[in-house]
Amino acid sequence: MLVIIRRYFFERKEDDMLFLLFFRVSVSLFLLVHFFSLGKDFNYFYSNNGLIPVKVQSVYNESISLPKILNYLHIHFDFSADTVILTFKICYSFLCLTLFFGFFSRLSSFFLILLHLLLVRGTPFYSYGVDYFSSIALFYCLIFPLDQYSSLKKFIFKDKFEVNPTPFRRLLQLHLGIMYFFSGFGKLLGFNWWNGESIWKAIHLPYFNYNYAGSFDYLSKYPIFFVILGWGTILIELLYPFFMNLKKTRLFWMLSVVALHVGIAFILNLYFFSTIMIIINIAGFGNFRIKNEKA
Amino acid sequence: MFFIETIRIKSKQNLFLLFALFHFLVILLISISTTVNSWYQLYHEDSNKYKEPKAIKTLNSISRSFLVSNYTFFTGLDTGYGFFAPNVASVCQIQFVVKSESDKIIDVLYMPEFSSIESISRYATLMGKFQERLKQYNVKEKSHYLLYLDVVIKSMSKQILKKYPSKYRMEVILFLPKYPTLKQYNDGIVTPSYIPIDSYKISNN
Repeated sequence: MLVIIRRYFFERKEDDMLFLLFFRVSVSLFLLVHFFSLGKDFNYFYSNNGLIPVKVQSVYNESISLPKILNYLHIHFDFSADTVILTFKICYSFLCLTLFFGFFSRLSSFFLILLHLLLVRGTPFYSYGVDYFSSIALFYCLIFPLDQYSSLKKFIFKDKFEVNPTPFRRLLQLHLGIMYFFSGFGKLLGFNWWNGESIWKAIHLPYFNYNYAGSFDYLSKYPIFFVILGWGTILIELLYPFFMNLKKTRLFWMLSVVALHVGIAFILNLYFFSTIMIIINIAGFGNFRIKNEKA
Repeated sequence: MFFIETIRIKSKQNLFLLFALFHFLVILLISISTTVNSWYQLYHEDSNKYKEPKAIKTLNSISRSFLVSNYTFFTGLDTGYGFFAPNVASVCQIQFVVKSESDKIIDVLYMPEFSSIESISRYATLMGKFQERLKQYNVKEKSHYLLYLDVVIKSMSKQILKKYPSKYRMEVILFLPKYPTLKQYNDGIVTPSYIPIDSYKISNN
């Protein structure tokens, strides 16, 4: 048994060779773009004078947050909120860039996690799926040896140490398998997923279907369409661990999962959530063989 | 030399496997407990006869233990993966009606004026928190948490009202927009209903 587990985790696979490079570059770029996606609304959510005052937010949340830090620095050191927010933005961007270029990636990831936690955990009223998956991706950035391929660190220090990327990719693959299985299983327990009502309800939720509100009403004549979408979602997620691990079905299943997330992006306006999910899926099961290298 | 190197590699691998075992046990624990909890909430929360199984209590207490809760806090693993499951939850809306001194309606807003879609998604997350109002609909005495949610709405409204002249006031209505189900829609009910949950009067003072 242990031999099989060892072989599963540690036998080097050529398809995994550039996985660490892809993971580092895509996650860091995603974090940077997502961070600035709020634009001038950033202060609504994360300043000490935002939509919900710090005092109110703190009642059920003891975590340290950016608004709490702003408040503290303003009261005790007379720092203006704008200066601290600007400094925070510069630090966050700098760490994303050092991660992108592979310059002490673990250190960058560690500090990025801390900054990310100040936003996500400090203001849980506004945090949703994308934030938790960014946290998960950042944690993997911390434990994966991301400086190993095409990194600035390797270029500067002429480091020739090579690492086997397969065990790290196995961690991600297993995590994805468990995650999708339980996501599908949860939906299987809900009777409204069987008759298409959940899909119908999701596309009519306020705030979510912002661009296409009402556009799907004519499809109500074909309820089977929603039943198929509901069961399709359940099956794609529930059978993910099985079909993603079979070489013959991997590409088809990967395309189905990507299609599912593209649908979520455009219909529910969850663009960033879908993007991080697609990135993690490609990182987990895409082909990262180095060209001209035989299997 | 080769022998020592092999032992070194093996012990590193063992350490990795030990970490992987812990990591996946935590993921499994959180996945099972969040799935069971949401299933329980959907089918049995209102039932007086049903008692929460001991297994759920045990799973919850393990996931709240010091080691597991701190690990999941740091790694983002505590969220569970039941997106829109077992059923899609309802989302409340808030209507902010800004009125002048002479009671003339100046503005009707359903959210602050955001500049990005991502901000709307975050605001939608905030609106999801008011589900608690639906669970405790029409209660005689509001729980501490419901009173807290009232404070959240009032403080939000005050922040929005700040952008208007100081003598303006605001009427705020928390409501549940209920779109007809697929079956109802096909039976001819095509208009959404709006169920008022609570209302508040806000002034700039």
